[in-house]
Amino acid sequence: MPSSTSSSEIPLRKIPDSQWSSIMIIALVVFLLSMLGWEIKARAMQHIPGTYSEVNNLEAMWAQERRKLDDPTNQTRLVLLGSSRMLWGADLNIMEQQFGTRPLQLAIAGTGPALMLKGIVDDTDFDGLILIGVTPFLFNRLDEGFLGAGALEWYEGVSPSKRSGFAIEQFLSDYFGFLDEGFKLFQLLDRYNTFTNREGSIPLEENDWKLGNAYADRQTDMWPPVEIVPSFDNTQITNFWMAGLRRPPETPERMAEMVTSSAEYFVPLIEKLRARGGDAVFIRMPDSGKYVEHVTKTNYRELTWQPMSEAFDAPAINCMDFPQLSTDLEIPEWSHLSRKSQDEWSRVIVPFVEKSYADKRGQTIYELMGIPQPQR
Amino acid sequence: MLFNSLTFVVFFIIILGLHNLPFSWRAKKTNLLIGSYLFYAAWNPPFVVLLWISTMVDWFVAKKIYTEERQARRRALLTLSILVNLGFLAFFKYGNFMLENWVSLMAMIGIEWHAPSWDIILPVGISFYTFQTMAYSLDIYLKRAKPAKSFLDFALFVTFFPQLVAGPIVRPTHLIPQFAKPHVASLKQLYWGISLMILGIFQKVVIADGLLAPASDAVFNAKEQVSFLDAWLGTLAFSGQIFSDFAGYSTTAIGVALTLGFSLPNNFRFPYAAIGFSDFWQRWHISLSSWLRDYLYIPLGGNRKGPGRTYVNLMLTMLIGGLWHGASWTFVVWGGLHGIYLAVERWVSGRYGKLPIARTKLFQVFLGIITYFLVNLTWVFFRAQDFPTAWRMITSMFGFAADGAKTPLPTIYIVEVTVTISLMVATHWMMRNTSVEAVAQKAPKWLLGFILAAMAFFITITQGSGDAFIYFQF
Repeated sequence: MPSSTSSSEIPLRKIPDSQWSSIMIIALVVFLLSMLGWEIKARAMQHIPGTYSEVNNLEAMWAQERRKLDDPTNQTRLVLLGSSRMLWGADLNIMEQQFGTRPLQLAIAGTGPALMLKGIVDDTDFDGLILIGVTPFLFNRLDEGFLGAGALEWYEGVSPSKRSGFAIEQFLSDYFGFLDEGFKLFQLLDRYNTFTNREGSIPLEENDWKLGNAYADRQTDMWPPVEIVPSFDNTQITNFWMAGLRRPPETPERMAEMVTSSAEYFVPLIEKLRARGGDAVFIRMPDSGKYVEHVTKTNYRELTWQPMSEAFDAPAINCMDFPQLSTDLEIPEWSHLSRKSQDEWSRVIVPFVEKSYADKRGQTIYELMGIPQPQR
Repeated sequence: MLFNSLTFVVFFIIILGLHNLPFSWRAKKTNLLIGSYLFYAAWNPPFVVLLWISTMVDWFVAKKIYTEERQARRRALLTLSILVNLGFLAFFKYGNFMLENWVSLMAMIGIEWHAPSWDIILPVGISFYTFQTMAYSLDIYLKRAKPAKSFLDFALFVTFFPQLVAGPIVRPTHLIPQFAKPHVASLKQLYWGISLMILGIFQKVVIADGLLAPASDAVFNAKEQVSFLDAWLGTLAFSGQIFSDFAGYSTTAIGVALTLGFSLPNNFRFPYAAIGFSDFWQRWHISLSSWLRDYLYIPLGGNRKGPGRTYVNLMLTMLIGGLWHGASWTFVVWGGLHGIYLAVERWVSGRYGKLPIARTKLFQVFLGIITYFLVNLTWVFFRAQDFPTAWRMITSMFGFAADGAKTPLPTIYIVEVTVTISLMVATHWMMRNTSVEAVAQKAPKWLLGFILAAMAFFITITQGSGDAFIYFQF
């Protein structure tokens, strides 16, 4: 009988009899030179170190920020919610300077604020101010949207290996531009190949474009090549928006349903938040180009925004009513602010928030937040 | 923890460092054991308890079986081991499947019953370590081996991280003796181990996930029927993806073990150059097919009980092999098709195998092409999420796609699949009767260095998205 402890039967692996030290040195040198070239190419194409990849930003970093609210020692008095327009709209440093407190960025791309607001109201004791970005129609999605599920999964707890992988990647991203998610080999092939596609093939531009860079605290800026109109990277994004815009427009009946369901969802949450001393301001975020055509065609303002903001009975600002918050700004791909305009919007929006809140509630946002009004 | 993750890189460096420090052999093995538990816990820490239970049960049961003389008691002890191991498997892997089928069965006889939702998380790699530990008790019951002398060696055999979650399924007589004596890799073993790791991760990250998975997903996730060309390219892409994914894991596992000084057996030998299906199963997932042969087919009687029983045993083995892969009837069909292929091959080769034409090179190539074609048909059932999808794919592949069938594949995917699969099949045929080691031995050092650098470069710039290996779910 063979024994489990006898070594007589073990087929030992053959090792090629080569000059392994030389081979490994050649391999290492060629590898490092290739990586150096790739890093240079990445930086030349504006994929720079110090930024975090978008998916990590949109999901893992969201969870990281959201957990700050669960920390009993946290001092957060101002939270930003909404979709990508709020994410790309807010410059956190400028807002901190203007509001006198640093906002916590919890907006998430492709996702309405509904579930995120519910989580804050039901599961935390936050009693400060929430600025809620409203993107037409996306706001009325009361589910986890496109990226909310992943973000909530990260928040509720992913595997230890995913968490450690994220931490290591964040660390390395500070040094290597090529780690930018928009610079993955096959994403580049999908994005920049010049083959003519057959009719009906899946549009690769729906997956493989890059819109922004993310930094610490989820400060998110537009990726510089997208700001150039027209550029390849800008057109990729507008092509993607067009896929959605080509769908049949929302009907008046559908918009009426949206208003009702949104009011039923948000009003109790706002009441609960107010009952413990907090409050929210709704901000209809600006857009341009084909998006403006779309909301004009569907009569969004009259059929959705106005009845909805009345039903909410909360302070509300429609950026499209004020040129300095919309048409005076650069929105290069019709949906998000450029870096320059982000700074501008973050500065200009503050007095509008102050006024709309004071007009509606009869107190200042600073009284609400319990902080002194900054001297500007 | 995934091999293709940054976390694993850090973990591996620490483990390798500890293994090469001047600790006692017992301390090194303890390090490996703790490391293996951490490796497994990195997915879902509570499931480590399953490993512990499995380890404890088989350790004590096997010892008892060995010393017990009475056959009835020995059988009862073996039954206990099998019940515990297969019980976990049945609950975690087949619980929902059995419940769904029970509900469907009740509905067929007119009893409407809605089962409560049963949200079971599948412990990663449970099918692999279950088979590995069962082999230990079975070997001792069948008097093929003696129990391990050291509990630490046995626990490490159950848990050894390189092959814990996706094989190769290693026999106790292969691995436990290696833990009994000090093993540290020589410099050559270390370098060759690292080379195998690079090759394995290249297969997974670049070939499986980067080049082939997008095309396969685009075709199999299409909600409507796809064209003849798309159906074939999607299936071929999946055939390459599943090979590169799984063989990539095995190669990496072998490499990791080698860097620590241990030897794991091969799990693949260029299966797409197989001539016939018994040849295919000697090249594809070798550790599973040999496990099924030794612990199922032969105990069922193998080919010793007449031709009729042989065919029944073959079919039964392959059907169970299919179900081992996943709790779905599509996997059973996949196993069933392979069972039919093997049975037909057995019958045909018994009748016509000695004809002179069967030994000509041209005929062998023809058989190889037929084998590859038929294997691809089985992959449709393996990959399709349901039978309607599989049926749509099969009808398209046989040229019966409806007018206006979808053409989801972008041109870049068509190019990627065509080039990759052509190179893969050509490589399998060129390597059919040799090994990676033999080829590497003949290659000039500058070429080997360049190939390793190129693979490492492509792995790094592909930046795997951290996709899990397909076989983890089995």
